[in-house]
Amino acid sequence: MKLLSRRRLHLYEERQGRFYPLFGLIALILLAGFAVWHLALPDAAYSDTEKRALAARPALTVDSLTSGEFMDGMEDYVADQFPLRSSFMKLKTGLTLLFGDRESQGVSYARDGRLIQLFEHYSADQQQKTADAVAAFVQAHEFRHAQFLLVPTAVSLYPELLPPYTETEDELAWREDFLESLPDAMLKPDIPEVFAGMKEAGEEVFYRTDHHWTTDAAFAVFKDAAPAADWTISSFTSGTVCTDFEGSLVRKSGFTPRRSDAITVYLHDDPDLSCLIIHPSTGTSSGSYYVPSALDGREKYEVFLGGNEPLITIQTTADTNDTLLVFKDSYANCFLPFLFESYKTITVVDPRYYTDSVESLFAQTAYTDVLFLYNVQTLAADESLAIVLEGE
Amino acid sequence: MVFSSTVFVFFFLPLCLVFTLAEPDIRVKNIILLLFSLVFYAWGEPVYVILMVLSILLNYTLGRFMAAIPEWRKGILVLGLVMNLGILGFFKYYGFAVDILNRAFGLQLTAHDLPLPIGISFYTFQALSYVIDLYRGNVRLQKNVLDFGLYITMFPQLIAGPIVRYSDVQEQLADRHVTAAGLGRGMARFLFGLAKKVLLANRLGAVFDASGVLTGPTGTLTAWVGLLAYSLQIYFDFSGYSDMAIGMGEMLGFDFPENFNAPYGSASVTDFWRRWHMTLGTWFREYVYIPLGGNRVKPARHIANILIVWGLTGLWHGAAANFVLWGLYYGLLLLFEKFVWFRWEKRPAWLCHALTLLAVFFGWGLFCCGSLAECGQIFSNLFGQAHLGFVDGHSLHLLLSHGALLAAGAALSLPWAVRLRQALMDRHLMFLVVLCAALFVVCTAFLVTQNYNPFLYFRF
Repeated sequence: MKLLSRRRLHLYEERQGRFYPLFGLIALILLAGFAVWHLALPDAAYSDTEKRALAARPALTVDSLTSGEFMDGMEDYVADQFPLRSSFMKLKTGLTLLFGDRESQGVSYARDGRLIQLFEHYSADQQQKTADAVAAFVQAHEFRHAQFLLVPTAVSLYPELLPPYTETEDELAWREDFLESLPDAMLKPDIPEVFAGMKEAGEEVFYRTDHHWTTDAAFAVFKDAAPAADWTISSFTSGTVCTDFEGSLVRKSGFTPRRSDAITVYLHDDPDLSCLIIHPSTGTSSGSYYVPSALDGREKYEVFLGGNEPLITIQTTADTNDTLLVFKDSYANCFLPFLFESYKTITVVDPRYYTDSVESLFAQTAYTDVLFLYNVQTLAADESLAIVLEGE
Repeated sequence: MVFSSTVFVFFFLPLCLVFTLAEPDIRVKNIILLLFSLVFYAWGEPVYVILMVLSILLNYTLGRFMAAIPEWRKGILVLGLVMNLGILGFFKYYGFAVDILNRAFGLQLTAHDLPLPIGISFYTFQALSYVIDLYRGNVRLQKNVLDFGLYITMFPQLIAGPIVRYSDVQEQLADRHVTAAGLGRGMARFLFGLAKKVLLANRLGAVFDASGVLTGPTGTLTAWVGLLAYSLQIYFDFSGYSDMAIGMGEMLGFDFPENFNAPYGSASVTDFWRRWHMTLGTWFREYVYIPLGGNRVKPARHIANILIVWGLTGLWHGAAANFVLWGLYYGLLLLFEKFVWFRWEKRPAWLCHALTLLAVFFGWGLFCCGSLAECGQIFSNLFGQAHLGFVDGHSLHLLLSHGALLAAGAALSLPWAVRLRQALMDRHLMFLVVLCAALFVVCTAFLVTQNYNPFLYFRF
């Protein structure tokens, strides 16, 4: 480095002498200011963006102090309740994206800003366990139609949208493997083909910000599966009920999507067809499958059925005596209304939340059909279906 | 408590600064600082804080005895060495020693797995510097147990250095200038260190983990990318901590020794070790190498001295065989340079720099593993013994996702970055303000989202 003349050095020192005290004071006030802001801010119990309970102030006891629990709890509490937390999260994912890291929490920021959940972890053991349980269950009962609608997700439909060299497992291979282990007599519609056709026609199969399939995609699969399953294809009117839907993948990843999604619902044209939704857990019932009030909240997807429930029963006025038992994840929520014309009673079990015995359901209704409706990623990570089916 | 946590940055640090800066009397100031330091340590080690207090009392008492009974000085020094190293050995090396004995003699001894007290290697070495220098007459007796306690526990350097020798700060404990300008300069330095830790080291660490180079076979390029990420991570992590420590020292009126001087710009391995973790090197030179006779002995003894010092340096970093290996590796490299390499007088500068970086890079290969089996794995990956090809999808994925971070890290690890920081802090104050404001916002964003943890099981 060049030697600075004594005069210039003196000048710099003088400027530093004026600058640093002010700099230090402002920095200290900023740090302390955040602390005061933090203390003044009322604690939130729950994070809408992250969908989890936030850490609360830990209890101060001798035990929690000596074990270090208090300190760990304090670290979580301060970080969880920090002012502007969700804005900071957006800044962080924005910056990492700028640096080329297009993955966050297993979600890829794909071309044109579409969020795609990667297919990452599954166990081959669990795959076999689930398939065995389904096969045993189907063989133990006499169903007219036993059907598995196993829906692939966006990651296998849009591989070309993923950034180059994205690492993800082969969803379609997993699906093939699984379906092959099921009895041949089961109906297993070729959903990838339906989706490929929709993609070619330029239709939206998946939301851009959410892990679910669109109602249009569900309807296309319904039409494809209907003939084999003896389902009635009635006429529907579809309509967009909201255009500012930001789904689960946004909050999971923290990425800011380029645009939000629209939610479409399908309504039966037949004015005489009505349904009654019975929630045994709460003892309530309602005459509408859709919950429009959900559209005003943060959880807009709950417009379908009001979200997931362990068990619901749907009674319809359809002119039939057929009955259906459904095991499903949330992919079924936009699908079920298509079946109202075809069944008198539909019992819907979500094994992730259902803890009672399945056999007890048969005591009330002799089901003619059974339907399993899952997306590949949920099923691959799921242990509850096998447990519920085996009924231990 | 770690520096890179919201509790520390936004609560502990401002609170501590407000209290110590508001108090004019240095006696009281020291007591406040001691209390804060004890809380800081107890935050991470609520039980072992007692061990640290015992260590303080032990070394303080040894000092008093040494001064009171000068004719027993030597005996007291030996007692001090045995006790300090005994405590360190018990907590840090006991399990390792038992393991070696079991393997060597086929014994079945069991070691109780005591967790390692945070920072014990650092504060034991600091305490030893007091006892040894007192014996040598290089420092004065510290009569105030609170001030001595403050020297050992002082939170900025307690858990990750720099290793401050007692002679460095003995004057400052009794009399130091706490100024608003020091607060400002210290804040800037602290922020640079925080940015190194949070924005670079933590992210590079994630790249190293993602490379999977320790845990299984990988392609060759993946292994090099992974180890590069580690080499940069460890520099930014450690030097970032030192920056934060020195910065906080400046805020509190202390002048701590520098610990890093752009080591990745070194022209030789000898040079590297004058610029990497400088306070540890000084400590070993002052208290081990020179007492052993240094280089003023016969060549064979000199070589042995170097190998002893570097074996111990390795062992200081961790109680495992790979750390000893890592230390000896450097011992041998230094000998090679001293007796062979430096005799070539026209060696080109670029070659020296490149070879030094390569030697250090392989050194981290020994350092980063948790066991000798992992060492074998990483070196087999580095040299293509996994037979997965040179370039594979995983390596391209890593490069595309993190190439910009790696390039930025590599660039910022070179000497110009340190000169730039100095130039900003000395002359270009307006640029400094803008940069600090940006770093503050971004660091906060990364700090408060460290535990961003969306509930992974969707509710629907």
